[in-house]
Amino acid sequence: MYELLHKKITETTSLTEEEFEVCKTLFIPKKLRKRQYLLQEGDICKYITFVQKGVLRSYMVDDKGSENIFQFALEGWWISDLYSFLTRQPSQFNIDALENCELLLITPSSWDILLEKIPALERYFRILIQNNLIVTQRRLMGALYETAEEKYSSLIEAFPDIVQRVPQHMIASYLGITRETLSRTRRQMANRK
Amino acid sequence: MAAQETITMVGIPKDISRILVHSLVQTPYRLLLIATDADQFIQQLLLQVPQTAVETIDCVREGCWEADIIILADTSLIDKALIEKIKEVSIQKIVVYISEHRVDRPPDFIESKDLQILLPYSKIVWVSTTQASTEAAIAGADQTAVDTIVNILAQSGYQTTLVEQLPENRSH
Repeated sequence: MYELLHKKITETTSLTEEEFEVCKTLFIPKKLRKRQYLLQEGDICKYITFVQKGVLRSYMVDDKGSENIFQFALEGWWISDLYSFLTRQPSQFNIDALENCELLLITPSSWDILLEKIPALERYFRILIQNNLIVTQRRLMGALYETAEEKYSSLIEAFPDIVQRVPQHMIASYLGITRETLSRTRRQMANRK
Repeated sequence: MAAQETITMVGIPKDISRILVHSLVQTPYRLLLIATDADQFIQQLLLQVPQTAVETIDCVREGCWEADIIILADTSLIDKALIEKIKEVSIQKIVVYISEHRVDRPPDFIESKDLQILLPYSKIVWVSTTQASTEAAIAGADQTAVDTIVNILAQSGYQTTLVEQLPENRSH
């Protein structure tokens, strides 16, 4: 249940066995079925979530009812609405499961305890947040300057098996392009090979 | 609209727990029932509230893994084997033990205090009521967990009285 979490943490930070045992007691193991919500717009985000198994997405719904996907999270990734989690303000996001998921959830109070008891995890989460900032910055730049093909290539590089697991219309939404543009782009890339 | 949370009930409720379940189905929670022979009980629930989202599942570990809150609805099922199955998947979760005798303090023998020792990282909440009453005594070491159960019981039409604290859990 905790193998992937251990692997991800120890890729950047050393943890003793005792420290990881403490870590395990602070996460909530949760199974979520496909299409179940972890967070709905208007809720206060109660958890930072680690994905042991499955795929989640984070999205907003605009005034026209269109879903705009902000993030996917596959195995080994984290997902949350950090603004809502840290400020205790209502979230504007929805997070739901695209597959049956096995998750590890941590609440704000448990997260504080975790970081207090295991200072090494301060480094881990600092690196995690740094990387998230870099990815967000690159994604913003991509939205402004990249072609559809460049956006799609970046996505495949980060999530190699995503096209097998996520519907096309959701990938298009995430990339900020239409389904038709995505289809054309994929066709052109395939023809070039 | 809040994301729907899951209450998992272990065992087919007897008496009090049955009354509580009939109330719970009218709250926003999704109910997951772990029982091998629950069809008749489910049919009765559906007659009462046709839109009830109640599902059954055979595996106690899987059911408690899906849970946000676990209710031990049939306390005769509680033994070390059951505890071992749910221990890992009930970490940091609220586990409700229902006592069907109205008393003003948790019983000394077994039950809630022992349960806290067996599930050291779960948040045990003890609830006591009688069949004819809509009043319940409640106790727990974790105030947030107690408040959550008080709210659920209030939504189910119960008035609660906080009695003595249970021993400290180890959920930090």
